[in-house]
Amino acid sequence: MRITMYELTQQMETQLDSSYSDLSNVQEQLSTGKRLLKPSDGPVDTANDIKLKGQLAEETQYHTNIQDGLNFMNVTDTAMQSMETIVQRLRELAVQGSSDTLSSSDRANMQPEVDQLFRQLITLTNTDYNGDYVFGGTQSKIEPFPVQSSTASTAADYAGLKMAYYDGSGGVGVAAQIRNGFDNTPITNILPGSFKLSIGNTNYVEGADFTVDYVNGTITPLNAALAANMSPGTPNYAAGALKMTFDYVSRGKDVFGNTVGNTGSVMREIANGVTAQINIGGDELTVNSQDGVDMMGAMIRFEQNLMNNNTQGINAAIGEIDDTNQSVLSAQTQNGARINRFQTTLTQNENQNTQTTGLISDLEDVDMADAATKFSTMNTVYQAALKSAAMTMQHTLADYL
Amino acid sequence: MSLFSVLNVATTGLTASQLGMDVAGQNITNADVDGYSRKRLNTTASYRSDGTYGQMGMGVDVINIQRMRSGFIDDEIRDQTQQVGYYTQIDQTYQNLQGIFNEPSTTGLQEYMDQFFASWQNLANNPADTSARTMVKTDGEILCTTFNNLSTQLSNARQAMNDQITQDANKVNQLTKDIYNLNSEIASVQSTGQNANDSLDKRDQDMTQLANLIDFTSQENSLGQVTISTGGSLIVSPAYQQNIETTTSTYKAADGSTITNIGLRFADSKINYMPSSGEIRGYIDSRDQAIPEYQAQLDTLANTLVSKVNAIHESGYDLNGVSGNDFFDPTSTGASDIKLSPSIESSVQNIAAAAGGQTIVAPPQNLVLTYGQQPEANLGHANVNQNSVIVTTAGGTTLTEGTDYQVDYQTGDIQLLDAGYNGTPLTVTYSYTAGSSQGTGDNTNALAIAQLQEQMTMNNDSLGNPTSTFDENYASMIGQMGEEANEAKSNLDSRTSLVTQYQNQQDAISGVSLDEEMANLVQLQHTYEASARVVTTAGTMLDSLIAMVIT
Repeated sequence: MRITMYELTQQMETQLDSSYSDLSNVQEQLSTGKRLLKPSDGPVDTANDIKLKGQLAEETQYHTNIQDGLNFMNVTDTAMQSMETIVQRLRELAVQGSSDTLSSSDRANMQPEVDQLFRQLITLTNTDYNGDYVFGGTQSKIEPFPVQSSTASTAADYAGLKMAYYDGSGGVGVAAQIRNGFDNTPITNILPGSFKLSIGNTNYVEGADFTVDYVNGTITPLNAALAANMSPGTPNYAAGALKMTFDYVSRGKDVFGNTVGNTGSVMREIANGVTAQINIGGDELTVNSQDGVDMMGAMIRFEQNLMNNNTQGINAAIGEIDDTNQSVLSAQTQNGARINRFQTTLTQNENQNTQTTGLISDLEDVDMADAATKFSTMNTVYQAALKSAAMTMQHTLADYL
Repeated sequence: MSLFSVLNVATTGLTASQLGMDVAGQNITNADVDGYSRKRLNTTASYRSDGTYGQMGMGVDVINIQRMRSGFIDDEIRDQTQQVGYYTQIDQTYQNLQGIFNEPSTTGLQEYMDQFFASWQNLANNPADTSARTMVKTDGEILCTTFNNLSTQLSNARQAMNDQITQDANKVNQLTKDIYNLNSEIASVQSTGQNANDSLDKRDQDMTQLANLIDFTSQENSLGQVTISTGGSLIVSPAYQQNIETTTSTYKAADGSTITNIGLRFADSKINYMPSSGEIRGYIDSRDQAIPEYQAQLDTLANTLVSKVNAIHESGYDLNGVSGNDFFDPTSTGASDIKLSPSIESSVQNIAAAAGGQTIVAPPQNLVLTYGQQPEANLGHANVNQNSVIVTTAGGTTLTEGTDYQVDYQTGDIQLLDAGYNGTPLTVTYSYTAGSSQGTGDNTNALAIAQLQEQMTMNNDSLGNPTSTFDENYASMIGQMGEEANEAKSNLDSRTSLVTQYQNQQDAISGVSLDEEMANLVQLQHTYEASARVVTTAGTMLDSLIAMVIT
């Protein structure tokens, strides 16, 4: 076999090329720290890597979702704890108020404190997290239990939602329903103590001229003069300048005036395919699921009984406050159980995250010790190849002739 | 037998040595020239018949200058060179594709798909939040742009193949013209019985270059002229050369864009030509198979994404309580033109995060029911929520459902079961499900879209059930690309090493060894000097002889 210069150079070139390209591969791996730089570096590993990265992105998002859910539920929990404290205080007041040793004025004097506590309770049912009402269900931008003021004094006020009027009177002693001037719906849950009725400068006196059923929103005239001013059907402001102002607890309404439900489930995805509810509906919180006692009604009746010096009614209120307490407590328990679940899932999620990150690193990352060893071996081989090439190519027979 | 014949013998030696040095000099000076084959001076002993001594030497005869080359190895090299040409292009294409998709990385399509779905999850956490909505829109746009860019790059890569094919066709024509011209040169030399060594070298080189471009078969006639045919047609013969020319065909792609394909045919016969190997076939296969394969997979991914996301988005409700809007433009046909729908482009308010089915609490109704009439009354709303109906008398008694009355929840019909309440004024409260948005705080729809990421959406099995998620589908596509890139690379490597091996074999025969030529030079120098000495010696003898005669 003849060996020629050309062949020798070709072979050297090929060998140097291949050593150099190996060297540059390892060098690239060392400098990037990555083993997989393009799919052909490991097609199966790359496919797995992509899947795992997708999984990691999902898990990271679940982590965010769980944290967000936890924040939401913690806000809910704090609100319910405050409600709990207020309900306890209200119970103490009710027990105190039911005592026979108190005079009627003592009881009447308790009403403003109860009223303040009640308003505080209503504020808490309208607690928001990040602009979302936590007890508003899926209608989280609509305040679930807004306190509205009816301040109607002129006919023009009928255009507004806050308008109210009585819709009729059969005369002295007959109850008339107070209605919303805008959509004609009955108004209920009027806050006791806020109700004022006047014609011109004449104030009518509750108890003497009229009585009010605050829960059902009816007014009963006690004398003919007032009854005459309450003609059926149409508002009677223009004629008699009959002016009625009061605050009442309304229900959340959408832009079309429909009363919206507040028990829609707000869900968070906390793991692959697992969604969990994070909210307590306003009605779940305020209405006792066993006997249907409504917190708003219970509180209004309690106040009214205090004002009316009705000991028997106050005794009944204790029971209703207990019912309210029960519904808040059960909502709190449910929320607490959910918080626990989220926290457990959070821990699992973090473990899973660590594991996935580890798997990705196993697939992608270079074993530095191994790569460095390879690099130095290849470097030696490359240098040896260079040196031998240089020495072989230097001489021909011509040097010695 | 005379002294003069000695002079003649020595002279042939001088001539042969000089010629030998010519050849060695040519070999040395061309040692580095590509395609140069070593030449060898073939000599033989010259003799005549002699009556007394049988055969007498008459010096040295130069037979010819021989080109040292194996035609068989050349054929093998050309066979493999076609494959090398083909796989070089295929390999290049896959390197390109891998570069275009740029995976695994943090800037590939995968990353942006993950971001897109994450932003839907984020919207699910804050359904009414404008910034969360803007994020969904932005990430949607980035995803669309990424799809568009990938598609454009693939189209460009495809288009680039056409230019290459045109260039290569020109190269083929240049080479066949050269070979045709060399054919006549070779014939004119060889018909005189001489060797057209350098023209042969040049032609062998041209043929190897041609083999890199296309596959062909060749035959050599007695005068050393070759006939080359490819695809069943003659492109070079001793008397004929045929060009190949390009044809252009266009068709409309699904997205309405025009796709141009460059084809080949024989210039004279107008028969369509498709090489079965070589660089040109590499370009054609890259253009018609490798790249469209991934374009199609990318389009399927984009289309599935559009249809799945839109299907859910259409059923949802936006911030304005409007339903039926698309998220992606439904007229898009694939990765090339995927974009957001005009309604989403115009306002992020139109992103449908909420589901339908709003619960509305109906105002209390006063009813007087007549026992036995069917249906007795309607509550005024269909889709009444179960367990939401409460019927009370004016006295405050709550009626029991099932014993006192019954409700058809679907139609809202109410009917008395207890005759005792016949004609009694009753108050009914209830809530019902309206066909409108569940509210701006509802995230049902956003969550459903976000969950698409982990659902089986693609690669339907024989029963039509999807078997992989978007991520899995994309991952297997990239995996496939890597496998195919490796296959092309290993094919290329094995063919290249075969060519190298054959070239080494050829080089063992045709390569110039400087040491060998040096040794030859020394030998020739000595032969020359010795022949010259023979001439001098014969001269001296002649001198002596002449001196004798003259004196």
